[in-house]
Amino acid sequence: MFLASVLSLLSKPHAFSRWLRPVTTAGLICATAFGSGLVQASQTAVAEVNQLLERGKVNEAAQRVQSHLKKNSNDVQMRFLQGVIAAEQQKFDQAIQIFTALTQEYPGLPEPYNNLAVLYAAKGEERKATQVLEQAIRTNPSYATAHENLGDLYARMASDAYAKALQLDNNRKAIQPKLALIKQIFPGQGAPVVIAAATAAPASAPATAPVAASVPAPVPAPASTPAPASAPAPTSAPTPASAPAPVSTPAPAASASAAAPAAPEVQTTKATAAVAARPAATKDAADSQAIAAVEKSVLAWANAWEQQNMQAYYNAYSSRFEPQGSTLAAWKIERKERIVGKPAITVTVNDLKTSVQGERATASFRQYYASGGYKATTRKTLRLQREGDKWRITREETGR
Amino acid sequence: MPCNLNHFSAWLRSHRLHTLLGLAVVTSCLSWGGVASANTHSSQELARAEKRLVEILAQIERREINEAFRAVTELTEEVPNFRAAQLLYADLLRLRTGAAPMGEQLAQSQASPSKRNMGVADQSIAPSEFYQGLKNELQRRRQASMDLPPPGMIPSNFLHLGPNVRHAIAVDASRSRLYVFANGPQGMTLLGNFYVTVGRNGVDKRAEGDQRTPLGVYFVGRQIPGERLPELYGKGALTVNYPNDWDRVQGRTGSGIWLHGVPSDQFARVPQASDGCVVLSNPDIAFLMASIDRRTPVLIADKLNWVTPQWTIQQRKKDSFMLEIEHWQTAWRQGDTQRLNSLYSAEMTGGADLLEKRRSRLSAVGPLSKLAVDEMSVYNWQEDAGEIRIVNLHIAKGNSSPTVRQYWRKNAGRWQIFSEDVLS
Repeated sequence: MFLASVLSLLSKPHAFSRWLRPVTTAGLICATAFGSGLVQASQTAVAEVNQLLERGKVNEAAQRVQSHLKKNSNDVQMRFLQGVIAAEQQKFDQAIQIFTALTQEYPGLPEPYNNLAVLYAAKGEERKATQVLEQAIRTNPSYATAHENLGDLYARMASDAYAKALQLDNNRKAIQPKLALIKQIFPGQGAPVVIAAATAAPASAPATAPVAASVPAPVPAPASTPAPASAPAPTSAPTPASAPAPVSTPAPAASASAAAPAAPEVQTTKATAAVAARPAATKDAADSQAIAAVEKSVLAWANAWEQQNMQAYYNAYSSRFEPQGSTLAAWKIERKERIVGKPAITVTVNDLKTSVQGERATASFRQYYASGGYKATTRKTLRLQREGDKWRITREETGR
Repeated sequence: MPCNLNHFSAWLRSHRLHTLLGLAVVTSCLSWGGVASANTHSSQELARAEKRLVEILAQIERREINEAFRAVTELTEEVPNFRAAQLLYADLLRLRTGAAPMGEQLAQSQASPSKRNMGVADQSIAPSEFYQGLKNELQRRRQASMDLPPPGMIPSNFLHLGPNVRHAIAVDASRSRLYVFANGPQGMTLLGNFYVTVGRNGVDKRAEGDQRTPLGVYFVGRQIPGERLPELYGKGALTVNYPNDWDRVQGRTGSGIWLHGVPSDQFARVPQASDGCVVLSNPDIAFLMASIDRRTPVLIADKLNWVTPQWTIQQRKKDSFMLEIEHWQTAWRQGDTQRLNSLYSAEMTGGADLLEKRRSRLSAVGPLSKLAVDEMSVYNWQEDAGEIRIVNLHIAKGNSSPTVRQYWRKNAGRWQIFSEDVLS
């Protein structure tokens, strides 16, 4: 359980592709690394491996990676994937070896550091993990994932130290639910949109209120009433959002401090907060009614998924829904397999943004998914169309 | 965030560290008048862990948070069973995440210690009380480091130490501190001072099982090495003679009051945790066991009263008691029974047989006429129940020189012996 939650921290390969963008020096190095004629071929292979991984076919993915690396032994991206796969297969020492080599050969890339740290943390070598993350931050001060993971690690270690100091049970859950928030999982091919989303995300998440706002919040007088079990999320946003989130503007310090205990994690808000905070519609009433109906449908879809209610879940999709690379029937079977019987599923819709054009609508949001030890946050866009008094999903896109 | 300490120090500027709350206050109200003494001695090297902790506290107060964090990381790595250091470490880790310390909330969330983390010794202490205890420990250690007794001063109860008393121990329960003095031709010098734990319910022991530490002047009995004791006692124990004759007169009960170490799973115990014993860290009890003789005086006070050695000299000159002890010696040498009887209190002179017993006991020491006191130590003790003097008279008698121990009490303005013993 613990291991699983740690593993979910791993920078997934999709995140890695973000660094292909020459936005930082790291990106430049990376771009150089991929600057050969092999880029195209590599990208196809990477996409294939990603797909295999997403379908849970880890062993096949491993084989695919291996055969690719035989021909292109220097493909950083593939080696990175190799490390991720080794970690998922619980071959920690091997994964550590791979990521260590990557940090040495590409010291400018933060992801290998991050994953190395996560692996150390999984092995219980938390102090080592913090050192690696600190190194990652030194080379890439703006690498938000490392900041967040470091914050999580510190919180976890604090919890351990409190337990030792005070003869307590080590109730890590009480102290930091933050491990669940993985902002770096943005599947897809890293279009500029994704990057923007990626940078904006930390700021728009209610949990990561600006430093100034969240810091004074929990300071209790020595004898004051206990703060809530869930600590305010580590303030991980290294820089204020370049594009201030239009939705869910952080409340002023005072109210933020009041709110902080209640909503350290996004999922508690469901989508209602986002809905409420949505910029007051300047459109006409009909439009806002339509938007409300779309949002209701999206929430119903999430709810059906969460409840593992397949009937309601299928019902959220239009009969014209076209699953990517599959038939509707095969998709239904696959979904059922992946939903029914899972440990309690949590699906949360955050930062929901909806637009309606006549009979069609688009709903974009950050989807938080958790089941058992697995947790992931992804960007999701649903296209819907009006069918009678219902809005049903016609397309489901991840990562844009 | 963790490498950006700006908000960190802003946080610190506007809020005191939870755990460290009140450190400055403590120092100002309990100060010895600001006399700071740099007492460094090799024995303090044994207390390296405390020194490091105290330096970390100082760093935090100077807002050198990065340095403090590094230091406490190392300290907890090297001395993981130092629970007070773990608490500091936890707080600093929390601060690194941008959140406030939350030891108190966590402690309050659990009613009893966790099986996994509880120590051998303090299982009966609920987490919230334990949290308070660790906070007090931090405060008192810090206070002790900044606030050593002024050089040369001694507790007023050591009215006079004879040359055969090589060491003296004084415990200040209010400060959770034990002071060790060396006694020599130049008088008393402070050898070291150590953090100690006293009874769960504090001091002023009255009855068996009250979990209090007795107050008074006692003497070390025997040494018991740790190997012969349960884990609870750590490196070993020094026994003291509670209840002494004064305690008995006061009807105080209980026994087995020792100075002892801690189980290996704890570097130290919180300030009030024992069943009445005085508990030291293992390096500290080891130091005492290596250097302390039998019959070393152990003064246990709620608060020590520090005086200059000159004060004790003047006090002796003024003290009517010193005259009485002269009288007693003269009367013994002269065999002046009537005079002697007047120096013993009613309970001692009560029956003829008692008197006879006492005479024969003292006679065993040697011919009374030749009784020569070659040295003498005098301790005073005063409490609501009365004022007493404890005298150890060393009789010059070749190799075996016995000691006569007397307890004197002021009765209606007159000093009288209420208890007497011959120690071989």
